[in-house]
Amino acid sequence: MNAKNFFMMVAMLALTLGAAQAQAAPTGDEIVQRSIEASGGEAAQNAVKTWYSEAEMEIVGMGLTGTIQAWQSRPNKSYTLMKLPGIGEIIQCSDGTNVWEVNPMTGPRLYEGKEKEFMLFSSRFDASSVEEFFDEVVNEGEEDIDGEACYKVRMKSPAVGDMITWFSKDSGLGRRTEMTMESQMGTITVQMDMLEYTEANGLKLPKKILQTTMGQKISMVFTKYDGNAEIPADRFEPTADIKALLENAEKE
Amino acid sequence: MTNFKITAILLVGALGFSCAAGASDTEETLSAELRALNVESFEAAWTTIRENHWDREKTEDEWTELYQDYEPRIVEAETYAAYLTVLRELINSFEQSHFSIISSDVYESIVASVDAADTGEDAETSEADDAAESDDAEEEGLLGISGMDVRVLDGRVIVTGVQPNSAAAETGVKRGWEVLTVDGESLDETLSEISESFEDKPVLELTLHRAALNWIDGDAGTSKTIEFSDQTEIDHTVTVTMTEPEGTPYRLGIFPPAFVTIETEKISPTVGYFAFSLFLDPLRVMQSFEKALDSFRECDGIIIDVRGNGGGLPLVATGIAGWLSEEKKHILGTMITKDTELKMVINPRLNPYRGKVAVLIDGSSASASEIFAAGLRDIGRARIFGSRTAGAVLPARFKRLPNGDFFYYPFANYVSSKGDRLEGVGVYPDEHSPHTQTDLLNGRDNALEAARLWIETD
Repeated sequence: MNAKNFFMMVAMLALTLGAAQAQAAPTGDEIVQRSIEASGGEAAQNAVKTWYSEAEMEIVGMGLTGTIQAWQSRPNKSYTLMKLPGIGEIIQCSDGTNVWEVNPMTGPRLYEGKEKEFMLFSSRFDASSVEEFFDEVVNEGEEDIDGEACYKVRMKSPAVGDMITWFSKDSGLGRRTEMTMESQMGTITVQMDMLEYTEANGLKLPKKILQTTMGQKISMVFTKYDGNAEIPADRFEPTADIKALLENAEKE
Repeated sequence: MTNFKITAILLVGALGFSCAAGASDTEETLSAELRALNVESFEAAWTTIRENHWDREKTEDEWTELYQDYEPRIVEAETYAAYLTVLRELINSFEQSHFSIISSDVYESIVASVDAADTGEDAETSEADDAAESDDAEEEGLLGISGMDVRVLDGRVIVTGVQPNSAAAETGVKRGWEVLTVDGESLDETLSEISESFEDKPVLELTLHRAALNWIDGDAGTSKTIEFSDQTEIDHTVTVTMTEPEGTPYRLGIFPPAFVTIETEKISPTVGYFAFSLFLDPLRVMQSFEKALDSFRECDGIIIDVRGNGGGLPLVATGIAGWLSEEKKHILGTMITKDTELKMVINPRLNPYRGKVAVLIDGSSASASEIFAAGLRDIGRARIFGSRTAGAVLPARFKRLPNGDFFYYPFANYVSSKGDRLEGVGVYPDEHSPHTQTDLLNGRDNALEAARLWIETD
């Protein structure tokens, strides 16, 4: 951060990984399709309309731990609440049209441009989003990730950039994902290693993820996945501050 | 050890004067296991530096050569002192701020002293409990302060601030008094050494400040006899018993805990004043600032005092700036990492403050304070008063090494929104208005008065 301190916004990508695996692309079909089957199959994925999940996170080496709660609803609504002692609560939300954040240090803000597009994409867990966002899915060959043989698959998107996933040759499941995302602060490359999987609602989902961003490792351990959870009706409603920003944006 | 001194160690610990962080330097020959642990710690520190340092000019061969200069010496180091010396030489070789090693036992003692001082909010203790706590304080090394702030002006330690109701205030210490001796000892030799070591470096004032506070402050419950001069023929000798800092220490992971002080008042009907000691404790600082701004809405201007503020979370700097700016896409500056550049974007609030903004700085303003001051000026939002800052402006992270040492390291360079490098340079005020002893004795704070005059003048 922080940096901050040295301190950066944690990219809330982990919760979309289940969605990413479901978003089979026509190119590199065999690998991605196998991944879908390995994770439970398309029918099982489509049977889930909402997700509620919880995770414990740690900014590795800095002794900073916190919790994450996330709510998702089809097609692309998501609400993520991160609590970090010493920092406070950071909220990131997509209502399917707008994306916003409320940060105790920088206050409320609306996402714009490519950052917004990326977050709308990340909030989807609908298989059709793959065709919508990615022009091409290419198997770029084999690579080992920490001794595990994988296929490296690049999904190319002019809208949200390329996403590379390494799929385990053995299990078919995603082992690592790397993507370059546009944030308000600039371009950030995020690498996520799926170290362990768990099962919920007939699906294999990442349990332990190690995210690396600008040399800083963040560990996330998911302790709960609740598919088809009841989502509070106003979960994705903008707060008063955000509503004011939206109204102001309309006037501009 | 006050949290200012902790911050100063972290900022300038690598720049040669880090004796306060080396309390556990020992000449005892280490076992093979401990030596191996120190080697492992060196490797961890080296890898961290190598993976994070932003210098894109250094070639692989140059990095290898640097490693080879130090690794063999670490392997040969038979004592902790020898290991620490080599590691500090390595980080000193970068000649950059925010590199620091705090030995594990010093780090643990810092944490323990703050923990001991963090007595919670229950004020209803018996006299016996208080006496017992005081008796225990010396054994526990309870964090203590005198309540006075000082600066080294022209080689002399001058009182620049006295906290109301503090131990110093109760003994009648006044601003402008010169501290001559503490328990009979002068600081002259130390100050000379520091001045020589840091000649022409902007961190000089910060380092002198730290040395002076080290000399004066002590564990809570302990007393020091301090001799003062007030520029008359009368010398004052008082006994100051250190007290615990007020408030609850702020904790952020393994970062040494710190007490963040906030001061807010209207200094005239048209001028608001907000001072805070660190860009930490974001919830409290941001809420306090918002509340202060609400009370200052009708003021012609506000003064934000970051003198002595050692920095903290850069996002707190952008957060406060968001209350002072209406424009989207303004940035305070840019962090340049090994792989990318990150802009410190200001998110303007819907109802920002639109009056004049004055920022007060001095040589002990560091890191996020410098980012904040320079950034606001660069976007045309503030005028700066006081004296040049410390020039210690690098975003940094921290970690524990395998042997328990606390390692603080920069991971990015920083340039202002106008592209100016602040590291090693500092921020110069628009109006140079430093403290002088005479003015302080006359009850005048030069930077504050200059800022107030500017705000009150059309």
